[in-house]
Amino acid sequence: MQSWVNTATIILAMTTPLYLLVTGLIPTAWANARPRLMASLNMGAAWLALLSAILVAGLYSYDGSLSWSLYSLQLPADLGNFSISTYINTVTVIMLLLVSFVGVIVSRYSRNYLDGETRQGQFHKWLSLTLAAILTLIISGNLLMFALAWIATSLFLHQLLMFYRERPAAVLAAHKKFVASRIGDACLLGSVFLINSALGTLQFDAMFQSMSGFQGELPLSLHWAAILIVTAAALKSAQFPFHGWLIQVMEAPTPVSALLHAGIVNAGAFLVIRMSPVVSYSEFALGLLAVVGLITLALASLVMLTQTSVKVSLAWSTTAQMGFMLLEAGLGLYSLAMLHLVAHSLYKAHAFLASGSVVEGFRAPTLDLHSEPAPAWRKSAAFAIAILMTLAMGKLFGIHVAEQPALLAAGAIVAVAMTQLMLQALSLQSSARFLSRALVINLIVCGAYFTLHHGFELALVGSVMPVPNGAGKFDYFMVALIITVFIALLLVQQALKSGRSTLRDALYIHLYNGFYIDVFITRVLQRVWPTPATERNSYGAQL
Amino acid sequence: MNMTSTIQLRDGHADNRPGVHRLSDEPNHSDIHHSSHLSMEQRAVLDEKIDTACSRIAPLWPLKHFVAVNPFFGLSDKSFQDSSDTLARILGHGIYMSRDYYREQLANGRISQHDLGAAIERCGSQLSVEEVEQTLAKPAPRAKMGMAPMSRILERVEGGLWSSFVTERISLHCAAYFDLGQAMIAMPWRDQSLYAAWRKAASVDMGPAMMGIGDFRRDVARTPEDPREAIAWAIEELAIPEEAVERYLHASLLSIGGWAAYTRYLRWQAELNGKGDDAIVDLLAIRVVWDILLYQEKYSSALAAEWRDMLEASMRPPSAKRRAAAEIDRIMLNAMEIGFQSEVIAAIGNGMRGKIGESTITRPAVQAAFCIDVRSEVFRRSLETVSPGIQTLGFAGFFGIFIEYLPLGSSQGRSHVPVLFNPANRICERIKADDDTNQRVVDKRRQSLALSKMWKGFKYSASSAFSFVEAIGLIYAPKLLGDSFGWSRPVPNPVTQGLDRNSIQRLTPSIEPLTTAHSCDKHDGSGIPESDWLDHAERILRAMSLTDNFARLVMLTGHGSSTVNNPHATALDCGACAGQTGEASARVVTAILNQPQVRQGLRERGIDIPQDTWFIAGLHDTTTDAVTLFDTDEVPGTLHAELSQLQQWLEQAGELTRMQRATIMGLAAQDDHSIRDNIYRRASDWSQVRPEWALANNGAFIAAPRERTRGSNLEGRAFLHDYDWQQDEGFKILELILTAPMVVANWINMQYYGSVVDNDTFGSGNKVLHNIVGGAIGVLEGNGGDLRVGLPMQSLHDGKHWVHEPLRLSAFVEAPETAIDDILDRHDTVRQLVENKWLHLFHIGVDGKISRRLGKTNWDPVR
Repeated sequence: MQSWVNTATIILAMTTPLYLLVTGLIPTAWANARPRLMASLNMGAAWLALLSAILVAGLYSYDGSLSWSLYSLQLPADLGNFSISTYINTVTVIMLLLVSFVGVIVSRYSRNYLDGETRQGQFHKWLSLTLAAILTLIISGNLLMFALAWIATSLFLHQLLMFYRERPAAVLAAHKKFVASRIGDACLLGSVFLINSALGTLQFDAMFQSMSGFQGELPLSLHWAAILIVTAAALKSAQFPFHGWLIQVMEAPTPVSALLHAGIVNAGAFLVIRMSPVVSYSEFALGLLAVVGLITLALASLVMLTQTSVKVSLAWSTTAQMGFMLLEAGLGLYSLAMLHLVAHSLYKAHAFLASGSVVEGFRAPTLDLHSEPAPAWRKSAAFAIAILMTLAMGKLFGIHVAEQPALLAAGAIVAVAMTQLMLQALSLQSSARFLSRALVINLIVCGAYFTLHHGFELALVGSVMPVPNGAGKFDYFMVALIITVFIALLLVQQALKSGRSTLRDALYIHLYNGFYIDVFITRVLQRVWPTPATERNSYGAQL
Repeated sequence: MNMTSTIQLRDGHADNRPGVHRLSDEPNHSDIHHSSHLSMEQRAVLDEKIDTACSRIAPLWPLKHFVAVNPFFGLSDKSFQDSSDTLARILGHGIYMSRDYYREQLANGRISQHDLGAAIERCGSQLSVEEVEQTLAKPAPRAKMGMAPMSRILERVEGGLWSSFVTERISLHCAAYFDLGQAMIAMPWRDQSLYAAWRKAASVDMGPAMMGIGDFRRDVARTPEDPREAIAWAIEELAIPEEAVERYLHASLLSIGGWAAYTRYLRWQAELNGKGDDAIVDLLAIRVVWDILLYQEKYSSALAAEWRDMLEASMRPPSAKRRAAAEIDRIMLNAMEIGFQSEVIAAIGNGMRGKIGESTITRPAVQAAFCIDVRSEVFRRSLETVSPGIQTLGFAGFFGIFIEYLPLGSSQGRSHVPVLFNPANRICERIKADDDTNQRVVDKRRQSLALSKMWKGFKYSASSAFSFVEAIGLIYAPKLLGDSFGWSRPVPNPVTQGLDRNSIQRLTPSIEPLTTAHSCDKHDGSGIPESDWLDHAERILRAMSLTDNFARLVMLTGHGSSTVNNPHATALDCGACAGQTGEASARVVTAILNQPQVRQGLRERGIDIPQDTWFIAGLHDTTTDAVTLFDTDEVPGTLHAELSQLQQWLEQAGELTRMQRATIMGLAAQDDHSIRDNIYRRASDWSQVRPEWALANNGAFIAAPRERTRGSNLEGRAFLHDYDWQQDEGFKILELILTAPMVVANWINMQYYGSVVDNDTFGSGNKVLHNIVGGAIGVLEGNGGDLRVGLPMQSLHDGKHWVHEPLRLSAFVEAPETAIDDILDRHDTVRQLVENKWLHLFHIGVDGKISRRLGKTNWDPVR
């Protein structure tokens, strides 16, 4: 009985990308001649993928992993064994559900949104292929298959980003992405072959088994593999200073941005979690990831505050959120990183698809808010309440900071956020009723956070290789640094809002311009890979 | 001062240091400004040129209350052709459609041989039909570069992305300076002028340095502090010849045309309130200072030569070849217009006026007044079909009441009058309940809005955005599903946000002053004084030509749209109500007209409204063609039968209207039910880029009694204004119609025209790339670039064809010629519109004869 269920689970998982793959193989000319039908096929395939994912989630037993190979090929020159295979654990199931769900929403959205575009059929073709590639990535049981799906995702996405290839800005952004992606691909392939040379396998399950219970010093090749993995993850997730392409891909239709921000850019964290059997043992790689993530989140979240257009602001927010997610992964808090990945995808997909609604916020009734600043004791009280609330919740959920100092950082971050929420409330109204409602909201948010954290912690047991216990000095240093950064973010934002000084004004300009990194990269890239500065496009080409 | 008429350029051999190259004969004192070089008179001349250049730009209303604007508004003192030539020498192309388009119209029969012949005659051309056709078959002369900014010239000389870079820099600055609240942290120098803020920002901004202009920040410090002085400086340094100055300034503004239009809007609003606003001059200064700094920093003899060539080329009058090409364009446009005009003329001829006697003898079952909007024409025709006993009327959708409206609990009002005017009365919203209940609901709403503001702060703050995602992000799974299927709205509806269902149903505008109990100090002086009610009532009824034979139910119907996730949603609402819906205005007017003391007063002034007549307000949803009636609870019991009859007719008329719209929406083959479902789905579909076609394909304006056109199908292409000149003493109402509704119709018509003929300059591009900037200011297309004006492609084009035919407005007015001439004499702006060929003006005689105005007392009989 059990084996029958497992077989079904495996078959269903392996079919999820197939429907979309088949849709994507439809010839372009045929697709463009039948845009409505193509949209329906795309949507139908996305629904079938979601249905398969739901069935997988229903059938999967949630204890241990399932893996199965359909076809296997011994590569020459000891490059390992490529196989078409699948590897299913909780992470696979969560990711399958997430991506196929976003796939349905995005496909459905594109149907009417792109209506009338002469190349709408083609759009759905590439959208189907991109989704198929991500789903393949998720179910891959073989490292090389994983890497190929990773590369394919980026190449198919390139077609979507270049949908308006007559727009120089679109081409420029796609070029930036292309360069970053190819470096990332090289890193990933390098790590795959290093792992193969060290462990003699390209299968995820074998890798997991051979590394579980690992003791002692990690071989140098695996150290390098871990470093390459986190580099590939940072490139994929638009980390500083390679974030420029993500900010600029507004040159593609809105649903592409939604898919990119919800389903593709987060593959960085997925990669690290999948590769946790290797990465967890490399303190250096994890530390690198945490530092890059922390720098990115600190800069990008401040830059976001200054942005004046909705999509650019959302893109900076994604960069920051990806930084945070990688920071969590770097701290070994894989379950939090996974929670962040899922929650952020859903939130950001919605934010992009609904980005046309911003104006409505400015059509709502205008409030006369009391403007006098809240007295200092109230601010201190807000801070105290936030800390107490976090401590109480932590206690309630039985979190022991001593075992994992990273959790101290996580808790501090929540406390700072709760403080921000209370300060926000204090700045708006001072009536007791309003503040008590704000407090209740605060409590709910805090409770939701701890509940979800706990839930994901339980769900991911056995699906990731935890970082070995025993905190080093570096961990404590990182924790202190993170807490400092978050308190600094709170204070800098307050200072930027209220204060006026030459320093503050200059900081504003540098932030608004994203520290000019992208201007510089544009200039360099323009030299080596020029974008044709075409005349502005004619109407016919647009629609 | 060397504002000479020849272009003198110094080669710059003497001094190759960057940053000090000058084009003038003056010695190199780059760090000193030469304001003293300009005498008072020269300064005054330049100031005038600056102001003229600024007035050439048409304003852009922000998205929170977007209204149609004639993009050629600032050019209407020139003829249509001259304006096209002027723009051609700036933009490189004029304002006609491509030859491809006209060829297609000729091929598919839209332009007949007869119309072509008539057009040749109308244009006074010597060409024959064959010659026109032959020339049309050849390709048009290639577009020129026009008057390009320095960045574009630099791009031609050394490559790179200078144009987009400079546009991006200026656009980013404007966005930060004018931001209505997208950014959590605002630009620091917003208390200073746009130009002063730019000098501050640019002296810190390292962007240009990263792009390779290392000394830019230092250069900015030595620019003049006064924007007009900076402009004078740049003109001198760039050696712009005197006769080219105005065009250069105009071109400079057009090169950042979106933000120029927004600053022009700020000036417009300030001038309405008797103030001034110089942000547009600041913007101009920023633009030209960029030109000169770029020139100095990137100086090369090749750049100087290209610049000189460009200036010379753009000042040359159009060549014979181009003049001949323009003649063809003109003939083709006229030919299309003649074809359309003959359809309208035929429709007027088919009307019922004089055919079925005086229809006003019997009392109509219902009188229903709608906005002049072209969408009303379709609905009115349907309503008349459903119930021949109904009389429909057309009038500007604000129904002549000049109000500012404050939604419940709001501390800021919004104008609900045409943008040419200022509101006179402040009307507050309340709910139909006692003061205590109102107070409670207001408190609740304010609290709920404050909570959502707090939530927004939590969601977007640097230190809390991450925890927000982890704690709350998963909620977006059901939200995505709900929004995707149209079960929920992506964001709360701003009209009803923070109110419960019960309160929403009891919302009403209050014509009486609000007690302070549930208002804030900003509500002082709200309501319309009782002593003014009678005057308003009389003025409005007379303006509508509705002074006798009242039906038992008189419906005043405003209009609005219902779409979600649409940045340009307000563009679909009522233009006469400044981009709001017409609900408040209609309810205020009906409330006044139902007051017993007003009725009494009107009787004394000769307007006898029967005791059993009741005025009722409605709202026509132009997306779904459903009509909602308001305050039905106040309708006297004796009229309940009529009321439910009316509701039934409205439903049937809605059905009929949707059927007619089905063809243009691509639903022709479907049955009634699926058409209805499809149209209603569009109204709640967040991915819908064509919820309705709004005013696409508008082309005519008719001010006449409805009997002239009743029974004819005007295909939703005509603005219909009811007007009976026999009742118009001293032609006061005619004057109002020609100076306000007709001008508004021209604005809308030209907005569509401009957006179709040159969407890059006067339209807002592709909706799927729209990126809202400044919270509610406007859209960028894609990543960045200039702010976009006008209409998106999806509002004009269905992917295969243009849905809007770009034609100039044909206005038909039933009134004596002398009266029309007389009014044009007194109103230069309107006369210019007619005589400079921005619209065609026709006269309808009492006998139904139609003539076209060629000039004063010169009316050419058409039929």
